[in-house]
Amino acid sequence: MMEQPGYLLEPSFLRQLDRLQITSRRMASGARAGKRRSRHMGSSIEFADYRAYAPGDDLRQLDWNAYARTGKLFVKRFMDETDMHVSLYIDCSKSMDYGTPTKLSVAVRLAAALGYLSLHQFDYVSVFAIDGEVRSALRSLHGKGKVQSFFDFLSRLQPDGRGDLQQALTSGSAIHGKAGVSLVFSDFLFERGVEEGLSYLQAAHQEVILIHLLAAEERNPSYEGELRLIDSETGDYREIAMSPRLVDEYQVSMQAYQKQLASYAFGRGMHYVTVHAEDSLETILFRVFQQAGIIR
Amino acid sequence: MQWLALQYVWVSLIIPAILVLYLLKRKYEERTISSVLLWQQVLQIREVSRPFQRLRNHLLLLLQLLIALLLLLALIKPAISGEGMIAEHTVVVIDTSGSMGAKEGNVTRFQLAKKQAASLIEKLGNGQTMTLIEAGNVPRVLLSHSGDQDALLEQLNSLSLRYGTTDTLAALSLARAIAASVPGSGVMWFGDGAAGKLEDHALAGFTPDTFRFIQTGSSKENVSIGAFVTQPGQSGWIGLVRVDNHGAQKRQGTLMIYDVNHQLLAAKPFEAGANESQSLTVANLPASPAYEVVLDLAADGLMADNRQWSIPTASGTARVILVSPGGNRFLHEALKLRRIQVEIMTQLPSNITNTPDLWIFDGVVPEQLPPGNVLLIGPNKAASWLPFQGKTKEIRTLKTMDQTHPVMRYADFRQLHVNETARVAPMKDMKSLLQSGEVPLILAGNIEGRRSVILGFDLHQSDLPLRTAFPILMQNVLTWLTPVQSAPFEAGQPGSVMTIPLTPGAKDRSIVLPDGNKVELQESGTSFLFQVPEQVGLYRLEERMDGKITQRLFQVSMQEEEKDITPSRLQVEIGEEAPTKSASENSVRGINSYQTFTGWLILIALVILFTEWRVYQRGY
Repeated sequence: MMEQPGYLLEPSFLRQLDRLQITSRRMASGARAGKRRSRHMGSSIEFADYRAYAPGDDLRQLDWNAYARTGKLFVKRFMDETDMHVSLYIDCSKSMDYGTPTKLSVAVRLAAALGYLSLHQFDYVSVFAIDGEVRSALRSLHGKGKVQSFFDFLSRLQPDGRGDLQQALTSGSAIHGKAGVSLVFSDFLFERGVEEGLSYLQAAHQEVILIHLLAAEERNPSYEGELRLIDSETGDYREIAMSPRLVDEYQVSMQAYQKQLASYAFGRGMHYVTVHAEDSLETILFRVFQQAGIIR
Repeated sequence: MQWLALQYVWVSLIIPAILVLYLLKRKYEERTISSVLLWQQVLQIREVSRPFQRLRNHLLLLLQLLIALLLLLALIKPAISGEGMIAEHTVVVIDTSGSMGAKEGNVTRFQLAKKQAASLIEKLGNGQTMTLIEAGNVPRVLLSHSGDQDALLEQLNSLSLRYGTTDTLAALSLARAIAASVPGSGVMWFGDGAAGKLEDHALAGFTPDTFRFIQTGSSKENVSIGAFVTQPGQSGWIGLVRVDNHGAQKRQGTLMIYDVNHQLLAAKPFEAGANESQSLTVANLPASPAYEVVLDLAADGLMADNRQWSIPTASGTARVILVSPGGNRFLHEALKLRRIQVEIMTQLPSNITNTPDLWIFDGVVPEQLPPGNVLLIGPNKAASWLPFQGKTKEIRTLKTMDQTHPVMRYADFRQLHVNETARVAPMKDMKSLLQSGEVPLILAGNIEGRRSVILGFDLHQSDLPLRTAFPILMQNVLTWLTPVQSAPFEAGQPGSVMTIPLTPGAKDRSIVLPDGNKVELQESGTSFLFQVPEQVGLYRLEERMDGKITQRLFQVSMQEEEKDITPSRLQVEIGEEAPTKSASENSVRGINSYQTFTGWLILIALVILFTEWRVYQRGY
């Protein structure tokens, strides 16, 4: 692809990401301690509650000040800070090589940003390049030290092949077995649909976030005349006498498809966000994603 | 609905051409897009990938096809029958021939034609002019290029029916010439087309746009008197009447014979089948200078032909020698009808002492012609005066060559059958009157200075003696060959010119017309060319000779062709269509003209073209 690894994201921009993290409706339940609040009481410094001492409790957790005041033994309870698994699925099919900038480049930069902030939060990050299958993947990256290799992986991604989200997600190699957040970057233009694959993902205890990337030309095509529209992935074509009326109908069809996806996502408790590929990264992250509650 | 220019129908190839162009049309501009998935959804509703669907969904194509169709229609000129003026200048021709006197309901065809023409004159628009022509025996221009409705109506009302025949060709030529002199002229012909057969090219130069025939006739039922002759019989006079039924229904009525003073002498019922003739003989008529026969029957198409006169020929005795080796009963009977002295021989006499007026050779040919006129029946060998070339049995349809010849008059040979006839080579001064193919059956003329008639066939080899035509033919032949008995006058026809022989030395000549008017003649010669007025009936020539007034009668009757009132039409050929000028056509078309609407078609095509442009702009 495209930019040099170092320039995937500007350093100044990266600094802005340091304070952000991906939100999750469910508490993380990682095995290692992370920076994320866990649902479980743990050993972080964040106070949560008191409870009466019972034999066997860790004596280090006794609140001696409370004993001094009340003469009763209380054990302090703290929130356990833990890590989370963030999975990034990037659709690398040929159809993503469309628009200015291309949808894939936008997807890669978004994934880079989200991956970076997750690594910064000591979350586990897995990234999957998918088309008809999982083409390549980096699994369970942890810690800031993995940022470079993560960026390297992303900058090597090239658009190619015919996309099939269904087949890619259900192939087995796309699931790591740990609950977490899965973000799917795609244009969701798959012949076989997306529902089955996404359900599969959800079944693997993933909180699924759909990032629907659309190029300006796809939303508002400025076509006219007699056109043979060729599918970039399949090579199929449709001969169309283009007319404003037909374009209107296409737009209606496109909006209906977006609505259908959003409605499906809502019904299944997924996030759905439409991203305009021509928008700047800042706009997408700090406006679109924050408004949608994907990051905070 | 008619198509006036079917030769342009090949332009319809433009429709498949448009379709082919549409299907093979413009090259598509290729454009790679991310996915055709959504486009496919759109196309499922508006499927444009299959040719058939394309046709259904393409308004532009449909409009183009519609325009092509309309232009094609405009080219092949659809037309419907219409009324009204043809052009800015209309030449109106009114047929005034005898058959126009036939009744159509309560009015005659002529009155109907006048009424229709009058309504046309009343509709005359501003700037439109009309030329009025009467198509009579001689066509006459009544008023030329006039837009004055009163004057036109006056001229139209002044027209009266003539009993003669219309010279259709002359009237057409006149109308064509007048129409050609003014650009944008049309001809409207009001008539029944019953008179005369037209040549195929008669209407050349006219198109359905410029010639319109207004049919005024519809009925064809008419009974007429075909022939009426009187001759002296054993006791009193014998009248022979042929009643012709031209119609398709059997008719019956009463035949009445009056004398010159209109006293009823005899009445006899008759019945004539469809398209048949019936001959009636009325005997024992008292002597009269003239006889009038009147048909009395209900609702006849044409009344004018139900009346005819006969002026008995001057009596005299002619001497006839019949040479008949085989004997001929038919001839014997036929010759008995006349007051002639017949001498019968079985072979040629060696020497003739008393020259007869007429020789009748039946089945025998003399080497040399004896003096006297000759009737030769069934020649069987050649002679110096007769180019006999053997006999033939190849008898084809009989064709009457000259119906007006005195020998042929009133005789109808249509049903005649002949088994065998002699082939006689063309002879100088002998005219063929009836022939089968090129073989003459009846010849009349002069041979070596003798009036001669040759009947090519033996009477026994034909059914002629059984036909009505036989006594009529014999009567005609004998009258023609024995000049003693020839009638003083030929019968005349209205509108024609007839030669009237005048008595040398007579004075104060005048002709009394049937309506009682008297025409004084200033002629001093021996013959007078008389322009017969439009009256049928008995005319009387009066002459003063030696202080004594002598009267001679002659009759003027309708022409034979006008008695057949079956309407026909004058039609201009359209495109490749064959001309249909059948005189026996039963169906009668009221108005035979066409109005095209090419202009409207082009206008609609233009409106659709504009719509197509709008549709194209809006991008459907």
